[in-house]
Amino acid sequence: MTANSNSNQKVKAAVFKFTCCAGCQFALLHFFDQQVETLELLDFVYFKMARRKELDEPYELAFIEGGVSAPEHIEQLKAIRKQAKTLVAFGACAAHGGVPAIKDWQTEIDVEERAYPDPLLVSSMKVSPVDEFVKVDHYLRGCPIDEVEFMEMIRSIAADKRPYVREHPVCLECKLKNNICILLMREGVQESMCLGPVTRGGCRVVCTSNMRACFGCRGPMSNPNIAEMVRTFKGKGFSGKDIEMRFTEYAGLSAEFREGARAYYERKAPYYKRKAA
Amino acid sequence: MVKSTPRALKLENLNILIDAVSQKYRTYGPVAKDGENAWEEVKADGELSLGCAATMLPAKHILQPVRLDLYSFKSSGGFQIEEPGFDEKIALFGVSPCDVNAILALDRVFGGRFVDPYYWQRRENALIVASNCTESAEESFCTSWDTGPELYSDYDLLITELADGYLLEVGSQRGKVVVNGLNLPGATQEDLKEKASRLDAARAATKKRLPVPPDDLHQLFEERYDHPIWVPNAEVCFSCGNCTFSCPTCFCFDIRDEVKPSRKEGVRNLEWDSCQLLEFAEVAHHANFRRLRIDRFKHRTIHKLSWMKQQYGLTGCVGCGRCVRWCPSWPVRRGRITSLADPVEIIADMLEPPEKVEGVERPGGVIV
Ligand code: SF4
Ligand code: SF4
Ligand code: SF4
Ligand code: SF4
Ligand code: SF4
Repeated sequence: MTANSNSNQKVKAAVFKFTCCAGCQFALLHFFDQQVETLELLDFVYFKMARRKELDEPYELAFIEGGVSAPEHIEQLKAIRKQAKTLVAFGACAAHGGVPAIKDWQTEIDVEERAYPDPLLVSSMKVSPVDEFVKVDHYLRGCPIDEVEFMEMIRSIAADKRPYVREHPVCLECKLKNNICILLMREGVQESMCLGPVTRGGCRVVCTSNMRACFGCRGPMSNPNIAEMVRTFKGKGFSGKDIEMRFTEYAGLSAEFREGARAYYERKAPYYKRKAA
Repeated sequence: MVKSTPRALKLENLNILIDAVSQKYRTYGPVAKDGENAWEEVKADGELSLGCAATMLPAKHILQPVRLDLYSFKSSGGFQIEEPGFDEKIALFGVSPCDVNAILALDRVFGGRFVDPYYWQRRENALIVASNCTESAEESFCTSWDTGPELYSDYDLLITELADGYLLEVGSQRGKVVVNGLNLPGATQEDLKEKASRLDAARAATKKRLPVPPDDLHQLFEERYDHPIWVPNAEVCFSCGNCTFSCPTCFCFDIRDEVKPSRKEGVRNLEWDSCQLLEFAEVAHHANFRRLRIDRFKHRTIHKLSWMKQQYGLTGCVGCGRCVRWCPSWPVRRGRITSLADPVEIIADMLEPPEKVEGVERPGGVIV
């Protein structure tokens, strides 16, 4: 039995932030307006954005927000994993590195020199998703996380069952909403570079419903056809650079999207060489 | 459906009829949306976009909603079930002939050995105002199945656009009730002639055709089930399901329970599903009957073009052209850029001599 088998007892939960914009925590804060009943299943013993309280209690459920980008993060993360019965990668950055991982496509010293007056004073690393270092039980993908999916996750964890998390492409939800397909309808503009056919859904298509292309913030679907996506963009006249940028915006560290980004260029970034070896 | 002698009337403008229908029914029809047409609720004095150009989703999402709460359940004080029920009357205004034929196929699927009450609670009282196609979209091939551009039966009301208005034919008692009291003039012999010549023109304008007679399809797919062309076709398929969600005869759905935090109550709901998705045929222990993309691609194609006919007696493809339009994959076949999901192209693929197949060329060129 994991988390909580007694329904009267709340699950003690903690929210930890690593390298990210904290937008997913912020989204969670907003869920409290709507979903009190479900959130009552949890007792947040540590949630910095919501209340000024240090971590002084044990917890069973850990939400990890953000990617790993410094050596000390690894130790912290491993300590959390030891304590938590259930660990959830919370948001695009924890799941796939997210936006901060754009820097992974350049050499670290270039990035450090641009960001800090004296690079010798900092010890930064390539950004990695959380599951590079610890075992992750569940993923809440997206930038930011989706409310419906979050609530399903909480109810499932509290009931000790497997959560229903969509592995299907974004296109599915686009069709269910009767949206006109922008990949097929629009030409030449960035808004037509829709990653929906290879991206995992569950976001309730906030982007494509507003005529914005899906930029893949939830990472790859269960069996994406990346090569075909690249060919499609190329057929629409987009350059290798455009395609690379689209694939690396939010989930470039996933094996599948990396394949899409690399379809044109041999990158210099040592991270990828290492992973490929 | 009630059959009565069609009574032909003349309609000056569509709004007279839309008003009459929407007074009695919640009315849906094809309306313009982001440069395309989509089936949505028709607002009072709203404009309809009739014509052959296939809408985004077909009207099936009104008869079988994409998501539907079937019933809620409670376990406090004995197990109780509550069904929301549905007593609204809906009208589908401007259904094209191919889509009416698709609805007839759905009727068989949901009304055969197992009757689906959730479909029928909408379908039973639905008023079908069909609309003959006086023009032809390049994706459609309804003439090959004889599912269009003209509808011969199974409508409550049928409209055909004429130069100076519409011909309105009454096909059922239900339809008659709607037009009674509108004091519409009868159609003249000229009007009927104009209808015939317009539909002949639409028939002639439908250039896309199945390369073999429909009756030969079963044998073709049996014989060529292992044709090598499936391999390059499946290779460029996204397994995205767009071809099935947009198909008016696809009927597959998933059923899930959503349990409330108290774990004492919940809702059982339905959501559309597609055989193109990896998880569709997954059972316990992650066993999967169609794990391979090629198996899923084959399944959809053959289910539409052959198996549905075997099982339900009506074709699973009515030639509406939606899958052609909304498939995101466009390989080069026979020197032309084609839609991967296009049934006509897939059948043409099947007819290629197996030993000649080398692979499909892509407009974007080959990448490694
Ligand atoms: S807009 Fe994008 S997500 Fe939506 S159907 Fe088209 S390709 Fe798929
Ligand atoms: S449409 Fe794509 S980019 Fe937008 S929220 Fe959904 S997964 Fe993210
Ligand atoms: S298979 Fe394609 S053309 Fe045939 S009915 Fe379905 S969507 Fe229309
Ligand atoms: S083609 Fe696939 S989704 Fe459509 S009815 Fe057949 S099995 Fe269902
Ligand atoms: S045939 Fe086209 S629409 Fe159908 S699953 Fe494959 S890529 Fe998607």
